[in-house]
Amino acid sequence: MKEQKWKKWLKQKPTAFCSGCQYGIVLNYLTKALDMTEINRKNSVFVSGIGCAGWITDLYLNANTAHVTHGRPIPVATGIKLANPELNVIVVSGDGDLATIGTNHLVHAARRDINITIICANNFLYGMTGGQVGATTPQNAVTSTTKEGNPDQPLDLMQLVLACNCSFAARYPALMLKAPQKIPAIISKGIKHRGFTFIELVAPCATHFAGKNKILPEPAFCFGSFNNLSQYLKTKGE
Amino acid sequence: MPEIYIDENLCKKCDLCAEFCPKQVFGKKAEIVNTEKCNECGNCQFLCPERAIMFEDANDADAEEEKINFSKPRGGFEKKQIRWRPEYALMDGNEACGQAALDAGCSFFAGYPITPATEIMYKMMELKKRGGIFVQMEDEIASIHAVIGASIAGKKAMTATSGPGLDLMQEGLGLAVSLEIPCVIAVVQRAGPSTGQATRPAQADLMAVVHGSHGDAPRVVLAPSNIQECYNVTLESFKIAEIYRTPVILLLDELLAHTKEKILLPDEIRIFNRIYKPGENILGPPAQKGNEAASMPRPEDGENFTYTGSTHYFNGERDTENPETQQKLNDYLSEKMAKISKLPADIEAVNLSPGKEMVFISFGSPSRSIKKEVKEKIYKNSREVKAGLLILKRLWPFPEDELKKIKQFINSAKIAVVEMNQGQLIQLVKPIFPYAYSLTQNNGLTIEPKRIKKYLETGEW
Repeated sequence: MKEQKWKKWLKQKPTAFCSGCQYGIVLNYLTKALDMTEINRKNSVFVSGIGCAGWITDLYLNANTAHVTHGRPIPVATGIKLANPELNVIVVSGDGDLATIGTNHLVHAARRDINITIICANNFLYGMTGGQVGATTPQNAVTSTTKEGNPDQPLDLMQLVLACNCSFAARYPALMLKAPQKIPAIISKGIKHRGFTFIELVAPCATHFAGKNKILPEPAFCFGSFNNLSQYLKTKGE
Repeated sequence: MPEIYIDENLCKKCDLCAEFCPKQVFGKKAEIVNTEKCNECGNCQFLCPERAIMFEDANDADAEEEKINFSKPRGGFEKKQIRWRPEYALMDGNEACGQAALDAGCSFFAGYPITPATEIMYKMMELKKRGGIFVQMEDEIASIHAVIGASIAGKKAMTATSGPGLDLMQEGLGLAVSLEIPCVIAVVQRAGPSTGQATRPAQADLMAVVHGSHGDAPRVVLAPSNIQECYNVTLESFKIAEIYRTPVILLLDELLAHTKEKILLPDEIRIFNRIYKPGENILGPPAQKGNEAASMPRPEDGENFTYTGSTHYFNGERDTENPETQQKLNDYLSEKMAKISKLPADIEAVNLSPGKEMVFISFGSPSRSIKKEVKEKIYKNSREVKAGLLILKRLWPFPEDELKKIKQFINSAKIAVVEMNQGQLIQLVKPIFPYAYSLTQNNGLTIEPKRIKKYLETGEW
């Protein structure tokens, strides 16, 4: 079997993620992507925010990490990158953190085209606090604060960052059944890219979202617009 | 045919492997049912969230260990010569504050324009010429967090704001306290509440800078009272921030910020650069005697630091379950403040001697008006009023010990706390002088000398 060099990036312990949570897969992709680039521990910093996704780097990545306040990893990353442009600054956080409370910073970092890499693990809601509706929750989806279905439209992060003239944007499902090797390649390309990089990995929350809602066909929704995501959505009780 | 096994310690029986394996090697509950079908496509190495699926010879790579090359230790006091500039300069408080920051070696400024603190930003634009970083962020939340980021990357960093911006900075301030991030925040006070009067002075942000931010987040607050002090106190604030690894707040007000005075610019100053010692804890008590705070590595030092705003061990690792860790962390932060409170508080005593019947306590710009009047002879009912003044320069940690010492000499005096708010400093003074009373003015105008004079003459405020 192939050498598992990427394991040096991992702190070897069982994760605290729920059974079926795809954030572990995001961690796999990230570590494999790091192995494909020139990055070492001395020239990289990983910044994360609050929420389940904030734990991906903070708890399980063996590197320089900073786990900061809710919604603010992008300004911290901006500060680190400006202070030392030779560092590879990578933000890994969730959709609630980056695109609901921290949308402002996301927009402005994209507008500035600052050379950081952002990996947004999108689980469609606030997982850690019990599955409340977020800005990326699909319309009509059932969450713990929208029991009758989410009345609001979701924020399509691809459209958002592209509107800000983002120079590198990609969206993939975390559970990429065919050719998962593609995603680490994209992430490593994004890290090498000089400019603002936004990679969204869609990993619906196993505990709070997948039990109440089902999006079918699963990988297909990632490639279209999120505005009509609700047409793929099946909720329990319908 | 490979040897596949599943690490039972890691597997959470999520059944994803049954879903993603194209050859159906795995059954329900992570059973390996069809080993012979496996074509080593490697998908499971990407898609098992817990990395529980192992191949027999896969662990060999773990044996090679990375060599750790830490950087050399650095930091400490440094004498800095500043040449080619006039000895004296005419500056306002904001400019003096910015000038001192540049002299102290501040090389990162992130800010958001706000009256009356904007001139600090203008001054810090000089960083662009000096090889430093100046950035205007999208709001004050981003500013303080960029400052924290820059400080983590190894720069001396500062930001400047006023009351409304201070509100937004509170969350970053708490993070900076928790992570022991050295940084300086200049707060130029204006009249409030809310938007208030942007161009008028006040001192109503005192409690917000001293106690703001949730949890016990102790920080240092310094308040200059003239333009020379704006320069000196800013230098001092960078020193304290770097030695003790703590955020320091410079509390100015609009009047100081926009008053121009002649100040002396020293040509040699003593600055402090943060300590780095290889292989030590990055947080908590210093490992070596003589240091006042833990070693602070840069990312390129090879330390693999972990900073987290959650409760953490002193090596940076997160621990939110253990009551001991929580107690230790908070105790240490308080201890640090206790250490700083032992530093000389630099209380300026004006016209103070035993036998005074009246002593004012003040800080910031009102102290200038009082200073003028207590130096003059003022008569009440044709008898001279003997009045003195104490100007506080360090507001937090509050200089209780020094005030108690002074109290022995002025035991018979009435204590009046003069401030431009509804009575905030009085709350800090009361534990030491329980009989102190408050004289306040909160109309957006500075307390003029004539009002102090009238008070001394007639006893009416």
